[in-house]
Amino acid sequence: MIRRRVVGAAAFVVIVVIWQVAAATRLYNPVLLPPPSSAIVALERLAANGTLANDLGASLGRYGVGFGIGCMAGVLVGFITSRVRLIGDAVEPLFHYLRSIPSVALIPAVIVLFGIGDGGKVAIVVWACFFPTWLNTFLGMREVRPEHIRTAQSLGASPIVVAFHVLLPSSLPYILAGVRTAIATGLFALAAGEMIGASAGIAFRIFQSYELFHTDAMIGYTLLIGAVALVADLIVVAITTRLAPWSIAAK
Amino acid sequence: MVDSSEVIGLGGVGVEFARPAGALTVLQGLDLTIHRGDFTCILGPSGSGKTTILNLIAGFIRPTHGSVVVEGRESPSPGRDRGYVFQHHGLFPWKSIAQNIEFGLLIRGVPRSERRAQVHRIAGAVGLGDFLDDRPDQLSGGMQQRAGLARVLVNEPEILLMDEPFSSLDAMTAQQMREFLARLLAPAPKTVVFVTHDVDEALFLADRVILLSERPGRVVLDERVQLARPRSEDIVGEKSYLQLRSLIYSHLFGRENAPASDSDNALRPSTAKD
Repeated sequence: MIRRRVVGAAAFVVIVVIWQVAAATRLYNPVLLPPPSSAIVALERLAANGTLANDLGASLGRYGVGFGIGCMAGVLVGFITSRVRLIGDAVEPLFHYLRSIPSVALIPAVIVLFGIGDGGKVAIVVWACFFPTWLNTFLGMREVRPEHIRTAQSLGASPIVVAFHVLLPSSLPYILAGVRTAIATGLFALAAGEMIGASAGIAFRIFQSYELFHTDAMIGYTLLIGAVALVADLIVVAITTRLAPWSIAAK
Repeated sequence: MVDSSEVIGLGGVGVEFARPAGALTVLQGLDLTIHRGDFTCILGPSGSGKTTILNLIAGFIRPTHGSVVVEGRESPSPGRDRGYVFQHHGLFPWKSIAQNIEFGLLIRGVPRSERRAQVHRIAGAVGLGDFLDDRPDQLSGGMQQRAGLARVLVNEPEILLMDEPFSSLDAMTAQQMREFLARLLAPAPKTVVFVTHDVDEALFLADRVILLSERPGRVVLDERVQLARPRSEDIVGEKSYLQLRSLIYSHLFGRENAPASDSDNALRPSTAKD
């Protein structure tokens, strides 16, 4: 486990070093793609004048709310659609259709419906987080072994006890895998949403820096958005390991 | 020891399962009465509806025809009065052994200290006292089955329904488990319905052996096992054992329309006794 982590971290270091050396030796034009050292300087500059905190706050606020609502709705609807056959049969094809629409393609519709404020950006993150969580919960609940449900029933469990002691923990590895997918899809949707009509936010600043040809800030923020995703992913993996130690995802 | 009062009654029971290829009749016109305190083994070839009988009694399924009555109640829903032990233990992998065992008590609102005491008592009885904090996948097959049994016993069910509980264990562990079960039940016999395809297992455990035909299952033999308890491996040499065993085998393989080569090897005489 420790060995795996060291190797994983080493790969990051190697890439940074190669990039840095390539820029320093002018293997390519570093003005177009500044090396990490320049990106960090740019980030420090933006941190000093408060822009960085402002952007992070704006993005994480939208992302946190959208991710939370989307995932919770995904789990709830996943539970209902898997247990109530009629509802499941009715909405499954519809959801598969809707979830295959790229969230970027929805942005014009979202702007028309919600305007260019934060509401629309949150809505698109909700959309992007809902479907992976729904799908995994739906599949996970269907994979619950009938034997486990019957065992609980013959030990005296009511339907509510079965839901909380059998269905939920049994599908938890699936649910957490869905949440893990939602981290990436939600961030993708956030970036797309901030491209249009934002005045702060990580992705907004990437595009603004691009337009102003501040390539050092552009790269810095791009690296930052990856770091946000990585941290969120590590948190979900840590939660999985703690809540569902028997699951493959945690191994 | 056995009083003749009826605990479970199946009358004219037929069970059909819907399939794309047409309904599959698993049981047809089955009449069966189970008596209080009796250890009844249901023997039969694969697909003869043995497990279906247990599922009917447990309330997991309802009969297509006829009636299932348990303690005077018609087609009762699943409940803790009928403990069910599955072929593959059915332990919850997300709970520790202690949490698995205490499940029935927990959902009934039994206080924590009482639960702990009960779990320790029953875990001690099944020899799992040192494994309460382990997860099910960390235990051996025999220990998993004992944990599954402990989880059911802690609920103090009137009736035990056991579906080939030892068939996935190796021969030695399975025999240890049979002896263990017999010892466990000796002081206060419960009404047990035990499904198996192992003739020797049935004769070792049962007060009464019921043999089912191939699908749709009917009762073709209903015999009491007149062997003194506690039983040991030595019963295999007793005359009444051998007589009953050959009677069962004659019904299994001696029937007119029995297939010449039975693909169901589960019912071949087990030659190696270890």
